[in-house]
Amino acid sequence: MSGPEGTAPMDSEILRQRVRLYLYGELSLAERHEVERCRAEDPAFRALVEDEESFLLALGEPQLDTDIDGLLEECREGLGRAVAMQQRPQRVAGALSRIRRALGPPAVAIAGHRLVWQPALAALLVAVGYWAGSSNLRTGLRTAEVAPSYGLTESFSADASPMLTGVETVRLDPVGGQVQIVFEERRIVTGESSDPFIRGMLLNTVLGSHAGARLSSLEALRVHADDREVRQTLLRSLIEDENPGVRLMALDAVRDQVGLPEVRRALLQALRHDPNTGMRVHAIQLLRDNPGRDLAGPLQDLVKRESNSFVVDETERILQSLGASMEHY
Amino acid sequence: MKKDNRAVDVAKAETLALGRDAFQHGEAERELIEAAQRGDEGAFSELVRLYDRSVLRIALRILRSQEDARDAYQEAFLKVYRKLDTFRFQCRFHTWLYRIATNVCLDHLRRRKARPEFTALEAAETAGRSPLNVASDSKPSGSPDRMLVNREASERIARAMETLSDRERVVFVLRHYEGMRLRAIGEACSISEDSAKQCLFRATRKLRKELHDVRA
Repeated sequence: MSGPEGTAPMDSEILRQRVRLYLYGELSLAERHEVERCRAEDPAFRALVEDEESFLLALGEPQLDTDIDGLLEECREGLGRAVAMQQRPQRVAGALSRIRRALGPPAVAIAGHRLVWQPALAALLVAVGYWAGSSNLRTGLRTAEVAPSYGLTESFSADASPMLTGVETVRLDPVGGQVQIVFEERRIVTGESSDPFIRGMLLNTVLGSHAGARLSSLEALRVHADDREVRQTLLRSLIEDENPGVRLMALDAVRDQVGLPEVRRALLQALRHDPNTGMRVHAIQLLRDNPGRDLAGPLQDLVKRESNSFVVDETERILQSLGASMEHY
Repeated sequence: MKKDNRAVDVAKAETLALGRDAFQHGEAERELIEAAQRGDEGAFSELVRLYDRSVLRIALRILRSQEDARDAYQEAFLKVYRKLDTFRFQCRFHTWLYRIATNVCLDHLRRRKARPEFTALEAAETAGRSPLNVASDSKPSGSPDRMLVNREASERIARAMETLSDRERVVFVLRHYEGMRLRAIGEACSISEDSAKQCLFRATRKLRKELHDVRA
C-alpha cells in the first residue's frame, strides 16, 4: 500500500498518523486533497480510513455535554461564593488602588513639579463651583441669597458657561488680585478634505482623538490614499490603532493601493499580529486578489501560526497559485 | 456625535460583509474582557458563562472525577479573576483561559499521584459514573443491553485513558473531545505544535493498543 503522496510505501503507523490528522482536520488543503484522492482510488486505504474513523468515534463523541448542566450550576454557585469571599477584603484595597491608579501620574508630578498640579486643581475647583452653581439654579434655590456671601454671581452667569467647559488653567495674581483663565476655544471649521489645513487637522485627529472622530477622519481621508503622507497615516492606523473598527476602516481605505510594497507589508503585518479575526480575513482577501511572489515567504510562515481555518485555507490557496510549498512539516 | 455613530456603523457594516460573526464575537468579547478588567462583575460573570461549560468538560475529561473537576473549575476561574488585569490581549482569551485550566488540571493529577487513596482503579470506576461517560446511557432509546455495553465501553476507555501520561491525556482531550487545533493546544499547554502532535500520536497509539477491539 502506498501513502497519500503515492511515491514510496509508507509505514502503517505513519499512514495511520496521517489519517488521524486528516480526520481531525489538521492537514493542509493540498494534503487533504491527496488523502481524498487516495481514499477514492485505493480500497485498502479507504478501509484504513474507515477503521480509524470508527475507532476514534468509539472513543466518545466530541463535546458531549447534555448531562453536565446540574454540575455546571453547582460550579457556578460555588464560584460566585468564592469570588464574593475574594472581594470582601479586596474591595477597600481595590477602590484605593483604583483611586491611586487614577491619580498616579499627577501624584508623580506633584513630587517633582508642584506647580504642574496647581492649575489642574484650580480648574477642578472652578468646575465643581460651576456645577454647584448650576444645580442651585436647577433645584430652584435662589442664587441671590447664596451669591452675596461668596461674590460669585457674575462669574457663573449663563453667558460665561459655554466658555468655561474647556478650562485648562486658572492663575491668581496675589498682588493685583486678577484672575487669568486659559480655556480651549470651541471653533467649527468647514472645508474640503483636499484643503491642506483641513487635511492636516484630519491627519492629527486620526492619530490622537477618540475612536468615533478617528473613524470619521479616516472616512474623509480615504479618497486621498494615493497621497504619500495620508497613506502613511492610514497604514499607521491599520497597524497601531487600538480600535478594530478603526483598523478595518484604515485597511479598507488602502485597498486600491494594495500593489504598493508598504501597503503589502502592512497587510502582512496585520495578518501576523492582528488579534481581530475580521481584520485578518479582510487582509488575506485583499492579498488573495493581488497575489505576488513577495507573499510566499511570509505566508508560508503564517500558515503554521494561523488558527482561523478560513484564513488558513485562503493562505494555502495563494501559496498554491504561486506554486510555493506549504512548508507545514 | 451623530456623525461619529454613523461612521462607526459604516465601518461595522463594511466589516460584516467579510467577517461578520468573527468580528462581532471578537469585538464583543474584547469589550467584555475590558469591562471585567475595570471591575465590572457582571461582565466577568458573562465571560465565565461564555467558557465555563467547556472548562468543566475539559476538567471532567482530564480528571475523570466530578469532585476534582468541580475544584479545578473553581480554582481555574479564581485564577482568571485574580489575574485578569494582567491579560494584555497578546493571545486569544480562550487560549489564555485554557492554559490556566489545563495547568490546574495537571496540578490536580500531580497531587492525585501523591494521594495513595486514589488508585487507577478508583479513577476508572469514578470515570464510569462521570456524566460525560454515561450520557449516552440516559438517552430514551437506549435499551438495557445497549446501556450495559455502553457502560462497559466507557469503563474500558477510562482504564485505557489511565495508561496515558498526564500531558498525553490533556492533549488528547483538547483535540479529540474539545476539537481544538494542535496549534492552539500547543499554546494552551506551552509546548510547540509539533510536540502537541507527537503527544496526540502517542496517545492514540496507546489507546488503540488498549482498545484494539473497540469500534463504533
